[in-house]
Amino acid sequence: MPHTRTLRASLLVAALAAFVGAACDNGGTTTTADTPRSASDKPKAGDPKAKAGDEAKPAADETLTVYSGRKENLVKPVFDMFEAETGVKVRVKYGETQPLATALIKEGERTEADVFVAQDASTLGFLVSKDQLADLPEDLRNRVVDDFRVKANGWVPITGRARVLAYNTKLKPEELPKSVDELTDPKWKGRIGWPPENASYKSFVSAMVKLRGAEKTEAWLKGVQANAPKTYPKNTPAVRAVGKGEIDVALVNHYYLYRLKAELGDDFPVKNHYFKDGSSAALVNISGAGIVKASKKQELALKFLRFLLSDKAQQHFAETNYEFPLVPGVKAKLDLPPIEEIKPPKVDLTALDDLEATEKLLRSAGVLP
Amino acid sequence: MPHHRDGYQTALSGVGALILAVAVLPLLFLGVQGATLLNTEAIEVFTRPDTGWAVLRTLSLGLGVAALCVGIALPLAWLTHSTDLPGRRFFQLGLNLPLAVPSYVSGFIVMATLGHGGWLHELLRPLGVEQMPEIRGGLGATLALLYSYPFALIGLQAALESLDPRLWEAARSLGCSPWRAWRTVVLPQLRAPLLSGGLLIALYTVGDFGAVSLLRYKSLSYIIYLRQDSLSDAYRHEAVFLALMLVVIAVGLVIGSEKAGGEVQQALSAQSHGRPWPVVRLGRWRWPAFGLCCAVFGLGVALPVGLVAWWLARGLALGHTIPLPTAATLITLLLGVVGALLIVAVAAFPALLSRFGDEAASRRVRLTSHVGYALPGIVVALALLSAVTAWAWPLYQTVQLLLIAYLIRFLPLAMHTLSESLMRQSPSLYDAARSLGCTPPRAWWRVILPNSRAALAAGWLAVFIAVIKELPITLLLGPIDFGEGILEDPPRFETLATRIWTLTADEYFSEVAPVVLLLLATATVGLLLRPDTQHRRGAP
Amino acid sequence: MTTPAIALKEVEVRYGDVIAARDINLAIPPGELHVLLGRSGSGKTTLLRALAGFERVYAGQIDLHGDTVDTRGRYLPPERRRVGLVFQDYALFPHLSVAGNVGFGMTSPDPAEVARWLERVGLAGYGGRPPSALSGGEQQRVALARALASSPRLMLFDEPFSNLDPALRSRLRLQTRELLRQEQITAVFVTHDAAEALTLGDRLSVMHSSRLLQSGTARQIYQTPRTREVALSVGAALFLEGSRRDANTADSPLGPLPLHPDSADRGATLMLRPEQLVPHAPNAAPSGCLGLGEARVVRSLYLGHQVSLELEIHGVTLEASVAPHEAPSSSSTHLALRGQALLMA
Repeated sequence: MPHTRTLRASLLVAALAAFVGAACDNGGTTTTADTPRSASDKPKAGDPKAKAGDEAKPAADETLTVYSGRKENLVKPVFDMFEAETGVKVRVKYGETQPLATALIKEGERTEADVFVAQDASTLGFLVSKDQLADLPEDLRNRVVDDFRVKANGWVPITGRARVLAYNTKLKPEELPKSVDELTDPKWKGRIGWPPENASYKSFVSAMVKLRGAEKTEAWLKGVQANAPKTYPKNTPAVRAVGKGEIDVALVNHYYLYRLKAELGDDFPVKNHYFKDGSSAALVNISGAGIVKASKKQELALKFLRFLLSDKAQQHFAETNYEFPLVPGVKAKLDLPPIEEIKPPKVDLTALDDLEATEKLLRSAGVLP
Repeated sequence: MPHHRDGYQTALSGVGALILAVAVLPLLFLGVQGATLLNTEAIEVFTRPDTGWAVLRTLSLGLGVAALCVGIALPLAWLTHSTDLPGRRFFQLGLNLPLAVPSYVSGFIVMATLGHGGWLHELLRPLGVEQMPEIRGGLGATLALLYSYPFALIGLQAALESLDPRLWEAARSLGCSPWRAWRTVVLPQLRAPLLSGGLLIALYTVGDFGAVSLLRYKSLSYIIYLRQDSLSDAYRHEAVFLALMLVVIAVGLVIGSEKAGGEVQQALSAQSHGRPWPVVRLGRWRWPAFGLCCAVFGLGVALPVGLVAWWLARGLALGHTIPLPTAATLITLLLGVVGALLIVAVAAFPALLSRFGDEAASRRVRLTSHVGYALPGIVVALALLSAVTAWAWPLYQTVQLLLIAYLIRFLPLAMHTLSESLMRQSPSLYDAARSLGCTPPRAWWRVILPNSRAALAAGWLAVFIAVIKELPITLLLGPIDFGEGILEDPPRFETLATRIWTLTADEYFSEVAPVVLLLLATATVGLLLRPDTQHRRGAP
Repeated sequence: MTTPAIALKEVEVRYGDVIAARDINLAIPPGELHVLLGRSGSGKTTLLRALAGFERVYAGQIDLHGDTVDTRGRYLPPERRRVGLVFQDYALFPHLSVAGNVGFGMTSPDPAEVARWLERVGLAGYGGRPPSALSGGEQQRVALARALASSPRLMLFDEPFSNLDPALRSRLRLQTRELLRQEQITAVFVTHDAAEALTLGDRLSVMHSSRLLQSGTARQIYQTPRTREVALSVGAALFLEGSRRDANTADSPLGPLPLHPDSADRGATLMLRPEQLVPHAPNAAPSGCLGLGEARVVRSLYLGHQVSLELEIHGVTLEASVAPHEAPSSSSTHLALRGQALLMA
């Protein structure tokens, strides 16, 4: 079959050529020179024509590089809004928060990153402790409602997610525990689920340690452990398991329920139960962002952070993601209780030592291997 | 016998050693890191009883999955080799497809099928089954990792391809029933590919994270991820030691398989290649065999496809708009094709060297080429991150680096498949070429490689599929944009695998469905692109 | 004296700690067809591979046409030795046609030249076929043409005819011999087949237990082997105890026997070939033969072209082979010795 072979070979060669062309990030001069450009093309970076562009708006070739530990579907719409509004191109590297933070530290001064977005306070605190994030102006930090301002400079909270008990609707509201302490009752044996590897779960335990001390926390963990809770790698599978009736309740963040309802339909038989008791179970975790110290675009990065805390962006986080907005004047989605009602505990979760202690505690209580 | 080397051999060995050094780079890095941590509290990890249990779990998972996979692959390889199985050609290719299902997807499939509230449960619920037996743990992880059986199948198919049909004909003419001929003549010839296929699967299994995490099986790789992900230095240091333990396990597995007789038998004669195999009639087993192939194909391919198709249908019914990741598909395909070509080309060198070099070189290649493969992807990714940011900054976050990283990660895989098949070539072909005036590289180029097409194809395919599934390295070391400086509006760099990762993290089922389908389709394209030698039915 | 085509001096080849060939001294003049005869494991293939350059000498020296190709500190790889090699399994390249195989070793493959070589081995018109479509004998001839077409200075054959049926084998042997003669090329054959060794070469060397025991013409090796191993390597032999009496006579259990002039000066073993024993009617010993007396026929085995006899004479059991018409019909016969006995050291 010589012709098939030829076809195959030419296919490969074509693919190879296209690929090599595209792969040469810097050495592509010959390739581009041969490629005729269409008139509508935007001027490129470093192109003198760009400097003569519209003076009122920032130059169209400006870019901002964001490292995001938050997933694309949750944040990209807001990044797109920023692009549309400013003409700045937002380049994003998505990844798991922890490896991304490691990468940022290893990159050091030479990093391309201007902004770091994380889904939990602890990683941002970690980056501050490694001197990776720049100080932020007072007015930006004050943009956040009182209760959620962080003491440490270097990052600002962007959104809040409340700890809840997701429960299958076959349970009557009066059957639900008044506090997490009731979950140590043997009647909950085999009915509880939680995602102990999750950063927000660890924050919840850290908060408990702050409020009650390590000993009592360990006792509580062991008490629940005795009820053989099912563990899940993440929040969503735990909530889904509640929906399937594999477990009756799960200690998770509030907004995954809405994610699953959007995915599986509104008849998904799960509701959120807010403890509203000022305990760690009523904790509101925060996602946040900071400006990379080594960034050469501090101004632009600041503009980006301001945008994340703008009414428009906060509105989006609230409406689409069902997260709690953290600036005054923007309301949470109607299905959610107002954030004041949740009565979150007043704890600062950015101290890193706490997190290490929590991980040790989870291990000694047998929650995590 | 140092003076028994000629100049060529020495120069070639040098280059070969260099390539191997690249392959063991993450290993070296880990070793050095471990050495600096000997005085930290992380060393306690060695004396913890949980560690012992994790090692035990890892070993039993690795060996269990390997044994089961080999058990699945062996009959499939024979049935699709040269029998009158209905749809033989289709199964010959199609049964390799489950390899394209990433473990983080197969874990999902196991849960969705056998878990509480899964498909099976829905079927049984009307019969009064309220609780399903717990699928999480060793059983579920094993089932999810069975999708790696094509690792053994590819090797067995290549081995059968190069097996001299005269052996079979001789056995049959000596009065052996087909079954006896298979058992006494064919099976012994497959001992080596069986063992090495099993080894590959065991190594893949002990390094896997996706399935063990979803199915909550506390193996070493799962704990390594947990430790790695910690913000605590002490925990991250523990990860280094745990990874080194995994290396020791890998070395043990390689040596164990050698002891079990993993030496590939040489061809009896140089010209076995051109002979077509006779069609083996399956008789009354024809339809049961067909049933077996259908069942495996059903569970391995149709089930994942069906599941995601169902997600897709559900999403469409709910009115979701489902974007198609065109850019990600193209990037994945290109990375896979180019990466696999590059890696097989580079791997051919040490593989040839170990075949035609001396005994010691061959053993060195075996060890180094396997051990690196057992390291979890994230360990390799972080080691490379450190190395590249320190010493090769201009490469950082480029496609070139990504290709090099794939090379380091998958060189073992390619070398394994290649040296396996090369072992089966008669040495006199090489000697003949040398005596006719070819230098060793010329002999490889003019004679050995053209006659190793099946081996190259098998290696290429295995690497292609591994590359398109790869996640941690792609996430961490990939460029931010694809084709920056060339394309006018460079798309964000993403592959189908990273797309699946981001979408499954928050369970965007309907959106992930087409991505999984595209990944399977891409793997199919790879199977079809495979430069294979399927001309054997042609009459001589 | 002309430079030998091949000269081996004190050659030793090892595989790890195993010595595969030792103390090999051999000189082969240009144009000679030389046979290395020995059982498997005797070291003959090792020696051939060392000549080709696939094994290196551990000690000693190999010269080809006066060039030292292998010794301590000097080594010429196979591709630069211009040595044609023909393998037992032919080793034709499966991915190339017959013509592609023949042209493989040519510096600039020329279709006409390829066709000429195919014609010379009787395979004109076979160029376009794949090797797998050829019979064993045809493949062997392609292998021969391929090796010769690369204009070697030396041809090496590793058990080249052993995979062929006997009739084809002897025909191909003669053809090969003729072709090599025409080319006036030096060749070394490795074989374990005594008949092949005796008919194929100008001279042969017998190898045993990694040593080269004796080299010589077929006649020399057959008639005057230096050791039992050499004697047996080329055919059946009878060994008797005996000792030299004088210049031309030896004492033996059969009485005094005439001695071969090339006999060892002293020794305790006499060798006879079975066909030297001639049965005859009483008092009718053939002329030139020495009567030995009456013998009892223990066993008689009819083999078609000859009869194998087991005879007892003077308390000694002997084997003889005779033409069918010479075979004794009764249970006893008279026996005579044709030619001389060889006294071995």
